[in-house]
Amino acid sequence: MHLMCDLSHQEPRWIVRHVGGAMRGAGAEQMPALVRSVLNCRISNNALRFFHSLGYKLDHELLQTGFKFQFHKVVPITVSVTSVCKIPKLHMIEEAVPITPGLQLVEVSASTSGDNYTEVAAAVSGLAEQLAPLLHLSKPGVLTGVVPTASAAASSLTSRATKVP
Amino acid sequence: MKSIESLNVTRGARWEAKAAQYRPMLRDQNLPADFARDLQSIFFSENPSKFFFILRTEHMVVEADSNVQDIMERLQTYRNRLTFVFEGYQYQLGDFNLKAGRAVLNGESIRGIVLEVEYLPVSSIEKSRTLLQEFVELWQDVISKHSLNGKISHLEPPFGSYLLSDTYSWQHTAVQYTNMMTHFLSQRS
Repeated sequence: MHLMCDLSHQEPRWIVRHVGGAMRGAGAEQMPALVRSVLNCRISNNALRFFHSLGYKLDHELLQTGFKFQFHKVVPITVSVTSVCKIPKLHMIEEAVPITPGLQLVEVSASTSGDNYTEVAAAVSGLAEQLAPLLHLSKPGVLTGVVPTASAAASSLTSRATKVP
Repeated sequence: MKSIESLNVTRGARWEAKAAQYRPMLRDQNLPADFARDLQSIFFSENPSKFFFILRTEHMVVEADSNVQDIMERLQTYRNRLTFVFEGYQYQLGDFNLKAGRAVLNGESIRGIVLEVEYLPVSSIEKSRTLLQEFVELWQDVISKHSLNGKISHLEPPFGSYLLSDTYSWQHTAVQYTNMMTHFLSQRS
């Protein structure tokens, strides 16, 4: 479960996001993109204290800054280009340090319903191919063909960057 | 409701508020439990896009989009222990909006009658307090004159302890109704 705070507005806006497990099975392995359930929900700004009271512990805290682009290819597709920074001291975003200096995370995602995810995955894959001259995009967890520096960066980002006691 | 309708007040739409009390789902009974045991929630039919959680010990009210229920279901950390449904009709009487109805526990037993009074021109709780008290006292006279049984008991909501502002909001309503649920549960059926 993720708690996200959008700092781009005057008043911070909180969102709670539940990310489900990836789709499994032979069909899922053949899919060019990762398919999983994601639920986003706006929540009041006492969300952190609320979930802590329910027994949840903070695992890690990251600051992500960058841009989002919207494309339309069969369905609306979002491409986000961000720098991911770890926060050494709890909530001290001013002291955030980039995890991979000079490298940015590019994520391509689209919403899908239960009956059209094959089409949507193909559209996402198609966009990734169009971006191939600029960058290499791979399905999460599949690092085949990724250059060594990018591979190390991806591993670093997916590992737990900061643990809070 | 008979006393309200006897004044030729126009009956408006139905209303419903669904409150729930949860218990934590402990996977390992032997592990020390460091989490809230007094989680409550409330949903209002007039505000279907929002859902409210209350943690009484922490004096916390949380407002979220209504799909937060799907997230809580997937997290499987709390289970619904009981449900209170408050339901009835709305009435308009000049600048006052009245909601009268019954409180039903688990769809089976009626635990009480609720009367919600809203003074529409003013959203300041302090500024409208005296006016609302006078209105309720007036209503008690109406009930007595119609020889109806029952007495209106005002349940003072603990807004101060929840650090809610003086301007009335849905969060205030959430605190009031869950406070009412707790009150009904504490009484014998």
